[in-house]
Amino acid sequence: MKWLDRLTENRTRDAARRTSRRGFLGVLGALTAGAGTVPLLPVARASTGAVDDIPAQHTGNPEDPGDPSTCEYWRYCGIDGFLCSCCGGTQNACPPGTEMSPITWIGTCHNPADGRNYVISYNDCCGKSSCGRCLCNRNEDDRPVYRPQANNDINWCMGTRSTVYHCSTAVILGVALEDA
Amino acid sequence: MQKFRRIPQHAALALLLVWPGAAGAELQSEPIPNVVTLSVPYPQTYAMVHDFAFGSLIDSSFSLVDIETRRFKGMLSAGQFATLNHSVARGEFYVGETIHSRGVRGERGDFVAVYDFANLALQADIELPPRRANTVVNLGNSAVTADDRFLLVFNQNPGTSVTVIDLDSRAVASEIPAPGCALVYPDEAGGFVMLCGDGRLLAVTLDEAGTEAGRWSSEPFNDIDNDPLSEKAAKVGGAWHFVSYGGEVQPIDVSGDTPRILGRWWLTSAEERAANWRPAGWHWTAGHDSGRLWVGMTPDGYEGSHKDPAPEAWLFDTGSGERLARFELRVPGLSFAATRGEEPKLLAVNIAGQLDIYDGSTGEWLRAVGSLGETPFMVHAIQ
Repeated sequence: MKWLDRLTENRTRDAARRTSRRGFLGVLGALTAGAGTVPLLPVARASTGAVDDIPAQHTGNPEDPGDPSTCEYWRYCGIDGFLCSCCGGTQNACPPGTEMSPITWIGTCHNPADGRNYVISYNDCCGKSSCGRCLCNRNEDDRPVYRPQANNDINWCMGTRSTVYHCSTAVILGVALEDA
Repeated sequence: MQKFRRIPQHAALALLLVWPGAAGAELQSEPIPNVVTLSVPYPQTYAMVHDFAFGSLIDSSFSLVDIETRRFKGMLSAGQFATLNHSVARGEFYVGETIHSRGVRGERGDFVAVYDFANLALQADIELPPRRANTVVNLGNSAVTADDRFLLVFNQNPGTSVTVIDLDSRAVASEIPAPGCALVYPDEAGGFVMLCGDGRLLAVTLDEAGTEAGRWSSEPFNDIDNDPLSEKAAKVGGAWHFVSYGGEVQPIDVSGDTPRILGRWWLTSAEERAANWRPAGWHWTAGHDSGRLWVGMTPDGYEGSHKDPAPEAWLFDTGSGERLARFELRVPGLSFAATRGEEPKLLAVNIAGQLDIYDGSTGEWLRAVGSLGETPFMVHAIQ
């Protein structure tokens, strides 16, 4: 979501702008404050020497098309959070040292490669602080909190040792049944 | 300049120290420690902005600002997925939070931390059953009852219930099971209503001890599959106003013994709906007891646009359903609140992370407050 990028980017830019008057500790503070959005921020890129973007990815399977490090990837039609593909995990696996939530919300996404609709399980990965990379919020078929199985505002780090949210995956459960 | 340089350094220093009236009266020594206390009661110009801190969820905060002077008055620090409620009568804030004993690991602890208005200082830590709902900012996750007697905390783990906290004793009074239902919206008699996943409304009444005295359930009235009512509601007078994703307003009168599901009305004309005008934003509604309702709107509606920013806010008279004004927002808005009083202000947290203040009647932009954290998501009018 571009507006979420803008919100976090603005906060980081403000912090970076202020740090020029504050010396090393200020810079450190800005980088810490803006860690989630460093790849989006020209000021931070210049100061850290970081590369421009998240490196592109692909699944290696033409039947599973797109880049899992981008919000446009077909499985992410109902996702809300940091993409685990950018956090050391993949589109269907948690990053090292985190724990995958056993329960979660589901969405139905259309695979452009085979034309089928798939049921996607958006399992959260838990036990480390916010990954802060590749924030993505799409709300197709998202329903309010009172329909929890179809809501992406809920922290699904439940039933895990820690409730602290790190990032989100998009795991294929199977082909969706057609409406009768 | 040349002459001055010839004055010996120690002489110049002595001159400065004894020069009569050169810098006015001598500055007095200052006390240490020294901490500001806020004047109470608060003026009607205070608001709390909730920084959800997406980049570090375990370290969120609430910033108290004066919307008239743009001054930052102080802050409450909070754990993850925090909630904020307050009682003007008690002069207290209630922050719901989830914290692990060792930061991101260790034992889970759920608390309501009580802070006083004057010092923003911790007064009590009320320990909750470890299942309070952890969701992105949602006003319906907690509420103070209309009589200021109890604080209600919605639990979701994922089974749902409500913890009732006695604000006199600052202790848990009861836990009320509410299977299939979610969130809490206070009625006018000291009880509350909830929205349920089968499209019904659940109403719960409380007794003096804060335990369940009775419950009532409506027939299904909410078409969740096709056009659900957003849970981001506003109370106007004695009625909660829920707005569907498509833009239909569902008032629910909670002023009597039993809630009444009132007739619906549209925010938009048929032409505006055809042009894809829909409600949008994070908390997209704000209400005022005069009968006014503000709703964030986007002209680019589609399935899934219900959390997009709102470039406009529309003002309605809930009595007639008539639109009174359209406000073009300076910066697209996320969440809205209205101040009380004769001349309400519309407060909008915008997508640049600032708090915009508008005249609530004309939509004239008055001023903004910035630097309110990493990802400010919500504003509460404190009055």
